[in-house]
Amino acid sequence: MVINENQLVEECLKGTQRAFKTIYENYKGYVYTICIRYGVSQIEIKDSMQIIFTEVFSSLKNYDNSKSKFKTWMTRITINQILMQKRKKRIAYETLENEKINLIKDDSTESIESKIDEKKLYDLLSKMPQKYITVFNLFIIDGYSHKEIAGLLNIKESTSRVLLYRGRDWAVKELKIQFKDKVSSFKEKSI
Amino acid sequence: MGNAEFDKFIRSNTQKDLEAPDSLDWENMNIQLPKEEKKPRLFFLLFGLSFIVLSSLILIYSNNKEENPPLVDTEANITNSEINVSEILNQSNTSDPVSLEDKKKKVNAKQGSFTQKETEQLNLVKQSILLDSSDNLSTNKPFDFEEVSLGKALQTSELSSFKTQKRIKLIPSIPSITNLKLQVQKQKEISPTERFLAQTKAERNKKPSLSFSIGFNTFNSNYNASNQTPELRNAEASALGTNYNLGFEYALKKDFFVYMGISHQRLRKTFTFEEIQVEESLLQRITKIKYVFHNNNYDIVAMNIGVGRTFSFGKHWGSKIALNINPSYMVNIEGRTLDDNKSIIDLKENMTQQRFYFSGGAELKLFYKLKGKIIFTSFGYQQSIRANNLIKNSPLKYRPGILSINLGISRTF
Repeated sequence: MVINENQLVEECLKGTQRAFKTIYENYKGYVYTICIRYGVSQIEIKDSMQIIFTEVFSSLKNYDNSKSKFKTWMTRITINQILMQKRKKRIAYETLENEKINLIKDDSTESIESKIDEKKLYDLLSKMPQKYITVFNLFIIDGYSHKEIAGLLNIKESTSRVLLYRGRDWAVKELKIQFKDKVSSFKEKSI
Repeated sequence: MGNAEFDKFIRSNTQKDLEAPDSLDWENMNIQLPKEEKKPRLFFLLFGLSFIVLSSLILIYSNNKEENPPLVDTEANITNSEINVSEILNQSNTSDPVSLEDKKKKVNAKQGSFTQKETEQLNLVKQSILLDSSDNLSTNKPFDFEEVSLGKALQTSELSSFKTQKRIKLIPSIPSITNLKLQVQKQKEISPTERFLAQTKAERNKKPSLSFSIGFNTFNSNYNASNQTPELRNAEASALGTNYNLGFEYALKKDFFVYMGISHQRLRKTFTFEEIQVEESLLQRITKIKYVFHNNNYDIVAMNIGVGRTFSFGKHWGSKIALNINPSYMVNIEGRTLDDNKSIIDLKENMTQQRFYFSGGAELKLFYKLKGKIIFTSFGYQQSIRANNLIKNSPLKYRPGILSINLGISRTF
């Protein structure tokens, strides 16, 4: 019998242990991937996932299936928890308004092959400096705007933009090294 | 390659989830599962609601415990709240050793309906009072009407214990005072003038949400200064009434909201008034004390239109403050009041035609969110914007101020 997420949530609210386990098994890979993307280290990842799932299960009573899908709701909780853990580490986001930004050239004809080894890409992204990795993930992969990122990280929007560009810059350089055979070339343009 | 293209490339290559290592299997994790929802919370809520409903029923019952006597006084309609003093006349041959003061205390302390035994005791007290009064009056000196004039009589017969609110009517049954004087002087041997005193006391989010609440209210009439106002203020006492409210609320920006609803308010007061009638004749003087008690009810239907702001304290708790205006209509009045001559009249029969009035007020609501529902308690005060007529052809005006407490539930759609 196929049980959908809403039924699982209802079962969890009734206190059914199997429902909690099913949700965990269904989403542990997804949450694990988010943790890796945001640079949570292998040493910390178990603790992080425990905290995230504890928060997810305790917040199930507030989940409203008419407002969002369960996966979207869970992503938001996961990201919030990761950001909270990062806040505890006190990562300093210095103001970078006046810094010159290097952008990837817009009209370049060179390109990267559309498909590469995802595991390698995740490994690469997880090594991105902590200063950039959060903004990079929030903006490019999770679709947050600079205004939302500024609010989440308590930084200025302009700082968010600079960090994103630096993240992109770092990623391009690393991609060129990691995937030499698949990346033709990158030109950089200073503005 | 542009930024957009690069972003697309990253996104397309991060769609697939990684496989979590075995160390992250459910069995290896120590995730704290939430405890099962405590059902006693719901139980206590139901218990609280039941308590409120039950209390209101008891209050309604106790307010109406005493039957409202009819306005027209007939022998057949005399109730425990009215003593027909003339009956006492026939029992004036006995005496009682108990002191007058003690007996009076007994009478004054008595409230509520009388049992047969109590009625007998009361009659004994009345007889004793009668004898004491007679003793005072049956002196050897010539009977001076001035001496037994009302003021004096009040003192000697202990009438002075009455409050000033009592109205005394002198009903002369003899053609003239001069004649009375002469006749009384001639009839020294005639049985002493009898005077009777009897006192009895009778009983006394941008989504609309729909809410329903019930509760209690108490109100103040705030009478203007008119002929009967002092007596009316003494005669009326507050009693708890009931509220039923139904309303829609619509959330605006920045925690503000507007709401509109309808409510039924049953306002209550008790009316207690003592009317004294003194009948004088050649042989006797009869003081009749008519004690009138009535439950006054005012049924009002009002619209509630308001604007307010929500303040949240954590995930579940919060409060709302609102200002509102209430177009109100007096559907029905039932009870007693006093006219300009301070005579008791029926409220319903003499009710003014101006039943519509505007009230303004404020409300404080404390709420608790529970799975899409909100349970709240509210405290509100509303007062008529201007003074309104209460009875026909009278300068008497009132400006009701209603204090209410409600318990309710609302649901967001």
